Amino acid sequence: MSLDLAGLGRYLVGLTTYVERWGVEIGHLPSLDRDPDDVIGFVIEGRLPATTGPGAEIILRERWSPDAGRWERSEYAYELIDHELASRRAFHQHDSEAFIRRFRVVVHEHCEGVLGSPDRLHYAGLPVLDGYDGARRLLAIWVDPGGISCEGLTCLEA
Amino acid sequence: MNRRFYTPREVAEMLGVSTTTVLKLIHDGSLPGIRVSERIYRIPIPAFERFQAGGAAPSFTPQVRRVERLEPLGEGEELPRRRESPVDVIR
Repeated sequence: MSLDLAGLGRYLVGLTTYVERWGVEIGHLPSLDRDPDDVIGFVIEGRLPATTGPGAEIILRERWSPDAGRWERSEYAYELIDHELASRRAFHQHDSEAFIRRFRVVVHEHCEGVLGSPDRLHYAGLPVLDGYDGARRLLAIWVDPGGISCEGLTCLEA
Repeated sequence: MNRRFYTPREVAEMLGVSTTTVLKLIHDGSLPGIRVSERIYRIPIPAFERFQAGGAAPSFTPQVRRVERLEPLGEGEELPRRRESPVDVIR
């Protein structure tokens, strides 16, 4: 996916609106942050309300790298932190060179059945198409009556 | 764990419509729903409440900000170390 700056702005607005429609309460409106190398990043942080207790956080982070006047998504980190169940699930693509060198994978996942004490550090995963796909996957995990389960995931460090 | 979703049938009862209508709302994107299998859908309770509240979320124009540095993704995460080669081990 390659976008110009205006397209990237529309993508950010669309993604923010999309997660709001799922009932996620957005803390503050996200911005496009551009660093001196012209890499653009954004963070969408929101909360899934609970009838009681602290609920859950959804955090969508992306990095877009410049390429001939346009930008391509180069890294992402989509996170679900379920405070009610004290567990975490995440889909990541970052530091790809290190992961390719060590595990021959570009993307990885995280799963903490008990928040703060992961059984394993990194799990194998499939690429997440875009932020919409990432949000949808996290919401599907959040509504699962079984909660976050790490069973069936393949540990990269094994 | 508190229940976090409604079934299409439950939503249909609350809205006073048929289950088929609820499934149509999901299919046309009006009502967010998660397809668990071919015939099973879940509607997250916050999504249903947002749907009931009505109205589109206010749009906004994102600011483009110059920053010195972007926070690295995966910060705090232990990155994979290079595997030692047999030569390194022998040494």
